[in-house]
Amino acid sequence: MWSYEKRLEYPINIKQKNPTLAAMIISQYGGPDGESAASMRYLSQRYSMKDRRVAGLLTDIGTEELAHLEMVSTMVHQLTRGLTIEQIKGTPFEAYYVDHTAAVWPMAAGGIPFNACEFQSKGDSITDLVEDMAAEQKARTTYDNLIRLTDDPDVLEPLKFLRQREIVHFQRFGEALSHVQDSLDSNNFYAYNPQFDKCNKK
Amino acid sequence: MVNQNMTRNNGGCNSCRRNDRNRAMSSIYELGFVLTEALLYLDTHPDDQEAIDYYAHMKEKYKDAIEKYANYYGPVNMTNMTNENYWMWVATPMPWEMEDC
Repeated sequence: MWSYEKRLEYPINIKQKNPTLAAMIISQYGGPDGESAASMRYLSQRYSMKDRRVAGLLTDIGTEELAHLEMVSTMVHQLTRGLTIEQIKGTPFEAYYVDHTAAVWPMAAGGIPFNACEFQSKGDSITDLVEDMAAEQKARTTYDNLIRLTDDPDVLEPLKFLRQREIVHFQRFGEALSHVQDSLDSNNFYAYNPQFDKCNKK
Repeated sequence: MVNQNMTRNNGGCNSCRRNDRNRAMSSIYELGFVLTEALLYLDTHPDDQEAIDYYAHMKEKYKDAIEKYANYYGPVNMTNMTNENYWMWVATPMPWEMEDC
């Protein structure tokens, strides 16, 4: 069960509108390495994660990712608020505007809609955690790419905060992977699907 | 600490312990749903004084039920710190776990 806190995880107040930048940042809402995929990935994987420390971590990072997609959406919203049609025409935001006006909708910078195929939930603790670590690195790279596209401090600060969170999550998932590997049967040297149909809780 | 409390509460009988816990959780289910339902009503009727008073009253009962449960059986939310020496958040069962596995 969830409840909502009426605040962002990190404050965002973007004074300068920028529809082109919004059309790029939207990728971290609905793109291949975006926050929607991150949240759905972790919240889906936790049911088959038998180690309670790791199931708890997936729940809590999956929850934090919901706060991140709210931050990304806030950036897109603030960058596109009150635009005139002249400010939209000829920018990369123009095609998005045709379908969504200035609403927030999950898609990649290249226009591909959000798709569950962007993440996996495999039911194998090691497979899933290795995917999670890769996902955090891919998201970090995307934030690096976005950071290079702007020098507006109002946009840079929240982007840098989100980039840092990818690094912390990567670290925590690495520790989670160690927990799972430490609890492997000594005969399981290929480290495959250690928990399928097992009942050993920790 | 949690185990000691449960033992004191019911004399160490496993199924009694489970029944006590289930009873404590069902009041959270009921009061939690009351708050969810009242919340949606209040969102569209923000000036309904009777509903506001009702929410305020039930919110206290909900908080009490959460606190009582957390003290005996472990945290319901991350701020329920019931053990100073272990992070109980990852020690007690996840809500989707069944009794047998």
